[in-house]
Amino acid sequence: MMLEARRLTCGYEDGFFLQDVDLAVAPGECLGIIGPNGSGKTTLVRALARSLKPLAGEVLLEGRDVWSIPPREFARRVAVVSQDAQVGYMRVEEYVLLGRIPHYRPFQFLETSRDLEVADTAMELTGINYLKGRLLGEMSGGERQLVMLARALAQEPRLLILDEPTAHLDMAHQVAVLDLVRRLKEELGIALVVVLHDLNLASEYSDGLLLMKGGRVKKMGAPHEVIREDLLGEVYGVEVVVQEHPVSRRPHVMVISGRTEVGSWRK
Amino acid sequence: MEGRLLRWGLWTLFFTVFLLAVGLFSLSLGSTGSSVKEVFLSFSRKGSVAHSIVFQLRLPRILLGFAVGGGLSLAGVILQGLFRNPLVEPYTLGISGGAALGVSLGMLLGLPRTLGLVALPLMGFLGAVLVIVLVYVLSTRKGVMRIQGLLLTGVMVSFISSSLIMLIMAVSRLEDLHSIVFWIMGFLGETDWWMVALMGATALGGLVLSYFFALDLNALALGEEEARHLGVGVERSKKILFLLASVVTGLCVASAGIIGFVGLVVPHFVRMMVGQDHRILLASSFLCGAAFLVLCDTVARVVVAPVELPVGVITGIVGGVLFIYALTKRQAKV
Repeated sequence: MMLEARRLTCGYEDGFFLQDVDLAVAPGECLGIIGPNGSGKTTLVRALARSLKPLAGEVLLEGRDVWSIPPREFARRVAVVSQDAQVGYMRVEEYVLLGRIPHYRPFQFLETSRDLEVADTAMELTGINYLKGRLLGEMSGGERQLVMLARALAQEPRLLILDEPTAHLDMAHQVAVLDLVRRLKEELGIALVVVLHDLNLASEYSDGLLLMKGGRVKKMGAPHEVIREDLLGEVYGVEVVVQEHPVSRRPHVMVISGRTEVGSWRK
Repeated sequence: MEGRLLRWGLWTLFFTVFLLAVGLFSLSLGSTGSSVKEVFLSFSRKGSVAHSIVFQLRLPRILLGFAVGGGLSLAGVILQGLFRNPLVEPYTLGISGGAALGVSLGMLLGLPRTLGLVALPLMGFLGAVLVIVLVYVLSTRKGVMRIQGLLLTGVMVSFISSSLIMLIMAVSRLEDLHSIVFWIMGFLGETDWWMVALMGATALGGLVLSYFFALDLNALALGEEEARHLGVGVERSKKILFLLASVVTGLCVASAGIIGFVGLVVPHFVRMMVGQDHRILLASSFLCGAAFLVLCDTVARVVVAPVELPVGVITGIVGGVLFIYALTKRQAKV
């Protein structure tokens, strides 16, 4: 297994918990994490990315406890694209090259020609070569997301963790980002953990899905085992219809409007 | 990217030449009005008046200015990078307040009369160290240094120390009061070779040490969590960089008083010129800060000679005006 979590339990100071989460991702596999707002998806990602220390249980990267791996070595194997991460005021190429930091040798101050090559390849793969000299603040949400992916790829990771990579993107950019993710998985054998809010995209692109509720795993399995009317109805509190996608044969979700009761209306 | 190394080299050369030119200019200028030619002649004429003016008065003062200006700018760059806040300067964390408090206290207790020239710098440094330790302890919980907590604690410590200084001033004798005020305004004139050597070593040592963290500072521009994802040992880097900037600042303040604005304005200007990358920003700011302070000090020496103005006044005025000019020019461009 590339990444495993065993009875993972985490909490912040104000007491939000992630409880007894078990999961496993193999190389070349994409695990989609879904669940309502506040169900602990981002907490789980932080714990997997070695940003949040677990209170109990463990996270294993290729069989080793992630907290026993030195930070630099970890960053050479695992790249993270956070949700709404700040990207600072710099040029695209400079930003992508930051992904090479974990590969620097001690006392190395400048990029080697190999570092430049890897960054170039990452920008080519993500199709952002034309943005090279632009400033990060001056681009659209879709371009920014691709730039962040390029930085992550420059780390040459074996595991890529993406927290809502398609948030704020239009349909075309969502598909572009996730098609790229699929290629990384299939052509480079990278393992992926992707948090997605859009259940249909999650179903379409993931090999396995992990549905969360209240900090616990509600269900983990193949898309057709998780995207079910009863399960989603229970977890999200919304009535839905699930049908098969005519092309991909994967389950797709449709909402039924006018059946929820959120808050109370004063009459 | 291939041209970047060349560009960095040219910037370093430019700032070095600027620094040397400022040094020579300052060396040849003074209330006795000598020239560049006389400066060169004085090297060979030991025992002459020109020789002693250059070597005992101007040169130590210029070298101290280089070290203090470079040190303050370096501390400014480091702290602005660490806090990801362009308004932070070496004095934001209360270090100057602590040093000023130490000096005022020393003055009140009459230490210069018993300990001599070393008394005030020593008290200043002790005050600075006290504040550094206080701010560090108050903003660190369970081994994690909270950057925003650090900032708030620093600002509050500043307020407390300035209130205490005012209290001391209120009960001081008139001649002590005058000395305190002049010390607070910053002055490079009272120095000796021992102090110059100490400050030079501190500033250069700080510059060299900071380069081990240049890449960490680049990564920290993305935020602590992102830097962690890039494999940066964030907690360790934060602590070392904070201590480095603080100790350099503390020694600068102890040896030259509170010279404002250098640590705020110079990093800004240099960033506009060379960009955000700390691998060039650290050295450029150091060189530019050194030149800027000596230039201001030269103005302070000669503008209403034979009376000397406190250099802190000049850096404040020149720095502020230049900064507003650059800012409005930049806004006009956008």
